[in-house]
Amino acid sequence: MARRLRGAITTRIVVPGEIIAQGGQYNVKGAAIVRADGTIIATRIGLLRMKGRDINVVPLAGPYIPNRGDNVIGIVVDYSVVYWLLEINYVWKARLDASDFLRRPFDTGKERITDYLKMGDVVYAKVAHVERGMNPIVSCREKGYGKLEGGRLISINPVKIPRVIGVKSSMLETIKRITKAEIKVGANGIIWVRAEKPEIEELIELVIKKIEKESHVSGLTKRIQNELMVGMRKIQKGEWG
Amino acid sequence: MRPSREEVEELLRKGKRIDGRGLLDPRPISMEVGVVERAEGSAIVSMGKTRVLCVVRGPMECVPSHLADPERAILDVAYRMATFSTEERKSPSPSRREIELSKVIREALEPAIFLEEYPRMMIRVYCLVLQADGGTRTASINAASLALAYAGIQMQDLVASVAVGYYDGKILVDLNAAEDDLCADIPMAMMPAHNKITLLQADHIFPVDRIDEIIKVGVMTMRRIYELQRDALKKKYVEVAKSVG
Repeated sequence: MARRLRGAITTRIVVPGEIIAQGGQYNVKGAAIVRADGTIIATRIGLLRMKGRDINVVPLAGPYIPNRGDNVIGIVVDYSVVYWLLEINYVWKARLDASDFLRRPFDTGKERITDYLKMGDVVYAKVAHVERGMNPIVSCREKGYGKLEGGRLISINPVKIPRVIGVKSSMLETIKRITKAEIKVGANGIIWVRAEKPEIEELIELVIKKIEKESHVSGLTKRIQNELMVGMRKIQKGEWG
Repeated sequence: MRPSREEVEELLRKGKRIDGRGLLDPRPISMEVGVVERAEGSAIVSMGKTRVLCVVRGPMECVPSHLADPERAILDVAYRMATFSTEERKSPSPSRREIELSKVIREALEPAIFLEEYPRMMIRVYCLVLQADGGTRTASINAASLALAYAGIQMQDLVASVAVGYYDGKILVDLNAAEDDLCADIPMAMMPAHNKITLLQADHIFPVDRIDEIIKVGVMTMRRIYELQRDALKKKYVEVAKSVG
């Protein structure tokens, strides 16, 4: 299903082992590698974007592997005296130190860790350090991170997160503008939504699942915009559900 | 009713096969990915009457943890036959044969996966034979490589697999159970884009000087299967695009 979009950009679906290009100088990004003999192959099932000499394979499936600087949403599943362990959809749980959450030194003699976060609490944090094969370390030291209260969590395939955010966060801004909801997107595939009415949260969940399913089909933002408008009108008239 | 040994023998001597196909024709093959919703990857593959479901979980934490390798992932393959898959009920306990085939399938898949991308982790592959009519290991490999690719695991290539048989001077492709009892059976697997063979087994007696020919026939068939695998993977996404319009 090769097809041309906007001039020189080519997009098509590739599978592992598929030869994308042979020889020559290419800038390879994403799920593709250059083999010793100069052939460029895809390593995961993904959407190939070729523009001149730039090759980018955007994966369509795969596990979440944390990188330093990722914004993630975690759920407290364990704690010790000075840190919590968060489930972040990765093989290992992420460690959040009490001092990194409270943004001040933590005195184990005077306070208890469960005074601040309990099991099952949801936290928005930034990945501070990743060591392959060990627990990643997350932090809430910067502004905007911390405990998330109320709302609902939506879980999708982590490789689809860039689509939910969109180019220069266009998709996310569209959703926020139409629904007036608060949304935090975790790179680990978890999205937190809090809106005025539960119906709006339901609508956003439906829309995000649609983005996940149709992420590789062009014209997505427009379809999503329409669906949100129609949904919001229904909610205002009380016809939802 | 399963054809008798004599019937199969007589037909094969004439260069014919019990199900009417040519000597070098594989059985009708169908493949579908994403058949199990709660698993990361899954695929169901039918080769004639043989039908295998494969499910991939992971990468996950390595259990038991002492097996964890700090430099690469552990691939854990479990090949099982359902109790209802054979003519006579199969005992559900894992047999010696099932344990061996798990290892064989694992070794056929390992070269295709970038295991070093997932240190200390484990990737689990479950192959369940729903209906057995010869070539269950080859169908399992075909299904497993599809399920792994659908799970988004980093891979060099897909792995295609087929069994080639030899009987009375004749080479035949994709044996069914009746032929399997009679012929020399040479199952093989390969990474077609890399032109590398990852599995080559043989049992029974066949002349050594025919082996090149046998492999050539196998490679030709595996390339055809590979095309079907690619189509099956892409189909899942093309369908969504069509439904949107």
